[in-house]
Amino acid sequence: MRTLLASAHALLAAALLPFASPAAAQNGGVAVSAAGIAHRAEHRIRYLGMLHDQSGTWWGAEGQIRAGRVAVRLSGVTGKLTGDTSVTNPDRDIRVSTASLGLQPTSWLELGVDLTARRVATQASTVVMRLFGGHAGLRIPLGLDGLAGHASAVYYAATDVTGDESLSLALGGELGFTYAPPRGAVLLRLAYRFERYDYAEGTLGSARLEQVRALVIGVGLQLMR
Amino acid sequence: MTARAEPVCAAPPVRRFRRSLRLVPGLVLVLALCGVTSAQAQETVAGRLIAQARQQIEDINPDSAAVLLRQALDPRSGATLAEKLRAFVLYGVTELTASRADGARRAFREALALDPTLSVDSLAELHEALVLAFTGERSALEAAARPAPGILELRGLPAGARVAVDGVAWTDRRRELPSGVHRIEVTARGHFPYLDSVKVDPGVTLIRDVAMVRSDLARLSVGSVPWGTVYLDTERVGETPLFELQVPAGSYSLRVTSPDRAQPFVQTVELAPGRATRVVVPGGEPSVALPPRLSRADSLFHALNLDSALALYREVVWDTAGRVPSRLRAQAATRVATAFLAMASGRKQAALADSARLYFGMAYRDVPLYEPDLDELGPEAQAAMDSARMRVLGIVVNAPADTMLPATGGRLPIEVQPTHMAMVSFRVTREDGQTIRSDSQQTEVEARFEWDYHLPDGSLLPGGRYSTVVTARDAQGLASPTVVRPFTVAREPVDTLPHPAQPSAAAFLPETVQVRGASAGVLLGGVALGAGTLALERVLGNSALRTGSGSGAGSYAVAGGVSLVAVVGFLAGHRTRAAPENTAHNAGLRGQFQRDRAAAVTENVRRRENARVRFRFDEAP
Repeated sequence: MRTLLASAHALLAAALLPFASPAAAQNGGVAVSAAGIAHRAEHRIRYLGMLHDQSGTWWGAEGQIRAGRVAVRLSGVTGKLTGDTSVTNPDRDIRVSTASLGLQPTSWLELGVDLTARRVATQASTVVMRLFGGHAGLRIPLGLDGLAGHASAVYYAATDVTGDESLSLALGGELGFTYAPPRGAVLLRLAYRFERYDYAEGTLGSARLEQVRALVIGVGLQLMR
Repeated sequence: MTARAEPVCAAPPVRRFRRSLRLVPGLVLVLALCGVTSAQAQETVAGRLIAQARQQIEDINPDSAAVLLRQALDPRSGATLAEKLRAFVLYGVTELTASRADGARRAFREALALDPTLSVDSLAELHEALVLAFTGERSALEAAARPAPGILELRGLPAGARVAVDGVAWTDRRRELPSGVHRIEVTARGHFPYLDSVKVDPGVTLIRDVAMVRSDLARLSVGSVPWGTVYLDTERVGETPLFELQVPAGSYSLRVTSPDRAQPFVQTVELAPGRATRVVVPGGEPSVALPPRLSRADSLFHALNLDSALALYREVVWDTAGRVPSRLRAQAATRVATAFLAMASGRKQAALADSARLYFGMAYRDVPLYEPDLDELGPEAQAAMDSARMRVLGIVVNAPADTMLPATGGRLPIEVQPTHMAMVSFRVTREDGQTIRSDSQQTEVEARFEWDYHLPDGSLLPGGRYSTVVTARDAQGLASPTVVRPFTVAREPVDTLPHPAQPSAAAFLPETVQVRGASAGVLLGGVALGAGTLALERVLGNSALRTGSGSGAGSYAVAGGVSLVAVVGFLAGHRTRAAPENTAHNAGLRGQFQRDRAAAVTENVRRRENARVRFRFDEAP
């Protein structure tokens, strides 16, 4: 099972892109969009009473297919986290893949489920996290056609960690805006993303707290509206 | 019971015979019927037995006599033919004496088989029962041997005519004859001998008109077109065609007058005794427009070759293949009838007049309202034709060949003309034969049926194939032929209105208008998003990881960016505002379109419902 998930890890990349194609959501048609994304991430760990900060830039892509009120999103980013390199806080290679299925009961609300895989590799170990949860999102028009703000939160109710202690809490949130000019195919996105992972105490040591703050910039195309 | 079972006619004569036997001992007279003497009878064994049997009969001992006679008839007795005859006759007598009539008949039958000429007529006064039994058996045998007879009756014989059939002179004019061919010879003073052969069929009465030609008379035939009245000297002798009129020989002034002829035709004719003279009045020409066969027949008819003309006319009349139009068939039938009338008049054969009436009837059956060419028929022939018409009930059905009638309020007229007073029945049937309308009228001239072409439930007759079926029957039960006229019903194609075109998109006004400047909600949303961005880490994050302000630099950038675009959106954006006047304008357009369309639909329905109905009758055969 772990081998399968590990091999799929490289392929599945997931990220939140809640409102990439608001027009399509409104008119009930089919909309396809794809974008390249960059995360400027800050990673903070508190372990054994010590704070460790790392940062890095992750690159990836995300795509969405929306049909009426249903949207399927896939995203993946990969990058490094570096900082005060030490034995307890080594540099990390990050790979995150997310698959999300959302349902939009109204034009401004979306509810859905998320499946996320995070792979964090160091020279000493590799930790794989498999997260399953639900998300809720809001869409807020900002006056111009194609310009909308969004806010979403995700809570992972079921988690599975390989190579590390289990998670006692995993959640995240994102706020930002998307601009898709009505007369073009360009898609711009700017968001602020926050993730929290609390590890439970275990045989390997005391509880460890982690969080990721990321500035997300995306540029892409809307293939269909 | 036994007495009742015997033939009723046999018992009383037998009793009388018994009495007569007692009263007339000289029964030898019975034997004398065979011309037998006692001396001859005793010459042979059979003769002796017969003599003894006779003695027993005289002694009224029939049973003993029967025994002796059976011995005499035994082949071993060597009886001659005459002895056998005597024995059988005496045996019959003994059977009668013993009240056995069947036995007596058998014995007499045997005797007659030996000698069919045997007769007992001379003894009729003495022995009635014997004579009756004997002659009865003889008659039965003769009847069985003879073929069934027919009857020949001769008519039209001149006074003093002498008749011989098969060489046997007849004193009467009707007699029974054996079936077969018989030769007739009739002679009369002043006439040519009449010789003919007739075939008499069993059980059939054959009537033969004997048309004897006077030897001192001449025969005159006169033909003309148009018809004319024929006068010899000043005496009117008939109408043309005049066929073989028998007149005394001599020189006559022949005059033929006609209403259509300005000047009478006058000619002196010499009529020789026993000779036939034909006079055809010039001027009339047969029609050349007729088919060749009919034209040829006409030529022969006008040339007074009536027998030849008849043969051709009959071919036309009996042409059932439909190659001859009914009117020409009627014309030919009229000519046949006219010829028969002429021949009946000249030859004085009434049967020919019957045939003439038959052919006149055929003409009317073919063409019920047939009116012959008045040039051809004189008053006498027309009277015969009118008489024939009354014996034929024909009908003419007139229907419009192709007519358009309104869907409601119209009437389809069907006119039926019977040849005389009759009850005319009219029906309209579907293709499957079901009757959907029927009516009847009694009329002498014309029955007019007007049909509103609606079904009994009030609905209009649907399109399809139908038939009118017309028959007539008069008070005497004479039925006309059934005339069936199929017809087609169809609705007239109607010019329907096109549906109005939908208003173009350009005709509609926007029901909302956009005004510059978004709503304040945009600004508030942007501010809320910005604040939320800054608060995100504080809300979701763990305080143990928080340092400083608690928010990353990225959050400020995003919060600022969101707020900034919200401000831009608020300033540069648009908001929509309802435009009630445009909404009303658009509603008016839509309403007008729907009204126009409904009006077109209603009008088209009305036009289809009011589409006229077309009736097309098939051509009459």
